[in-house]
Formats: sequence, structure tokens, C-alpha cells
Amino acid sequence: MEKYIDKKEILTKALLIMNPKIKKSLLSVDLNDRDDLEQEIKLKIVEAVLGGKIDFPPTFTDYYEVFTNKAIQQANNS
Amino acid sequence: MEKYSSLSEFKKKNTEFLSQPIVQSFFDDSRNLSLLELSVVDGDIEAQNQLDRRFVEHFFLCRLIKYISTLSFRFSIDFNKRRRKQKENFPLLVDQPNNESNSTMLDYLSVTQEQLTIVNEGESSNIFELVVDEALYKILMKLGKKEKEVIQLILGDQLKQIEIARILNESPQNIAKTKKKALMKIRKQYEKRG
Repeated sequence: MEKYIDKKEILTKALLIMNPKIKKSLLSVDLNDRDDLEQEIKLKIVEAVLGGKIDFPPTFTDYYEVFTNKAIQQANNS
Repeated sequence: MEKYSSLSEFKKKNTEFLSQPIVQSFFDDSRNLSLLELSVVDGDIEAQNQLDRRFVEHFFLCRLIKYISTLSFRFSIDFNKRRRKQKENFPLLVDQPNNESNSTMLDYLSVTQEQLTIVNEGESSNIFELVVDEALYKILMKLGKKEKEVIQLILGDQLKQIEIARILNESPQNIAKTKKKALMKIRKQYEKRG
């Protein structure tokens, strides 16, 4: 499944969505350091995505099965 | 996945599953809901594959957003700490103590009051001799006698216009006019030269 997903596209989407949040976190540092920090944060994010640091999520079917199995187990235990 | 007769039956039997935040946000998009109906009710494999892919994309996006949110918060704190430490450990070059004497580089570079007065005393003689630029010197030499005098008194001796007026026995307005004219002349000719 992993090769069917365009990670870069999701990355761009996430960066666009989260841009205000990143900008907000810059407010806590010195005015001269803000551009540096912004660059470093974005670099870290890109590295995390391309380096596979973020766990790959299960597919819908897998997730559904795991969830229902867990529910059955819990029902049996109690 | 097992089959259901209708979407509402699936919803009824899986209320807990559908109330998961990630699933809930996934089905906010009505296209996903229709895909689910196709795969659960009609057993459409293509729809199920599409559903799987879209779910993975959605889940991945959510994880990434969460990651960015925590990272940008923590990283800025960390960054601040690092910068402060760096400033403490590596002060500016001029603040570092000098090896030979116990003064800092800044002491060596800065000008003391004594040195300043020496420079001032040497300067007060003739402003025209201090000009290094040859073109500017020629232009200055071309000025009228009174203009030269006023420029010397203002720039060389650092006098006020009122004081000059008293020395030359003229009105302050006249001095101001002479000064303005002289400076204009200098500027014009200096710009023309190039």
C-alpha cells in the first residue's frame, strides 16, 4: 500500500494547513532568529516524512478488523 | 469485510467504530461514505481498494499534522535554549579577554577621551588641508573668499552661525545664505565631475 501513496503531496498539504501554527511558534524567539527557526522546523518535517519517521497507518480494512477483533476480545474477557 | 444489506445497518452495528475520531473525520467527506456503501453493500472490490487508499492518505495526513504541531511547539523552545547557551559560551569576539594584558579587545579598539582631544586640536588649523580627494580640493579652491571663510569657521572651528555672524560683523541670515550657496556649489560641481 505504501507505494501507492504520494507522500510528497500529503506533505505539501500538511505544510499548507499547518503554516499558521509554525508561524505562531516563531513568536517565542528573537526577531533575528525567526527565519532560521522556520527553516529548521520545515527541514525537520520534510526529513521526518522522507525518512519514514512517521509510522505508516493501516488501511481501512485492516483498521476495521483490528478494531472489531479488539471489541470481541474485550467482550469475551468481561 | 462482511456484507450488509444497507449502509444504515452497517452504521447501526458499528457505532463504536464509527465514533473513533479518525474514522469520524474520514467520513466527513461524503465521497468516502459512498465508497463505503459500495464496498459494504455491493461488495465492490475496486471501491474497497479506493477506500483503503483514501483512508491511509487521510490517516497519514492526520499523523503528520499532529507531528508538525508538537514539533513546532517543542522545537522553538529547544531552539531558544540552544541560542542562549551559544551566546553564553561564545561571546562576541570583541568581548573576549586579551592574552597579553587583562583588558578585552573592546578596550583596545575603543577611543579614549584623550585621543579624541588630540585629534581635535590638530584639526582646528585648516579644513582645506585635510581634504584628500583631489577633485574636491580643486572645487573648494574655486570658492569665493567669503565662502571659504564661512566654511572654514563652520566645519573647521565648529562655530555656530550666530557666532560667525558676530565675528564677520554680518547678519546670521546672510551667513546661512552664504553657507547654503557654497555647499550647493560644491555638491553641483562634485557631481558634474563624474
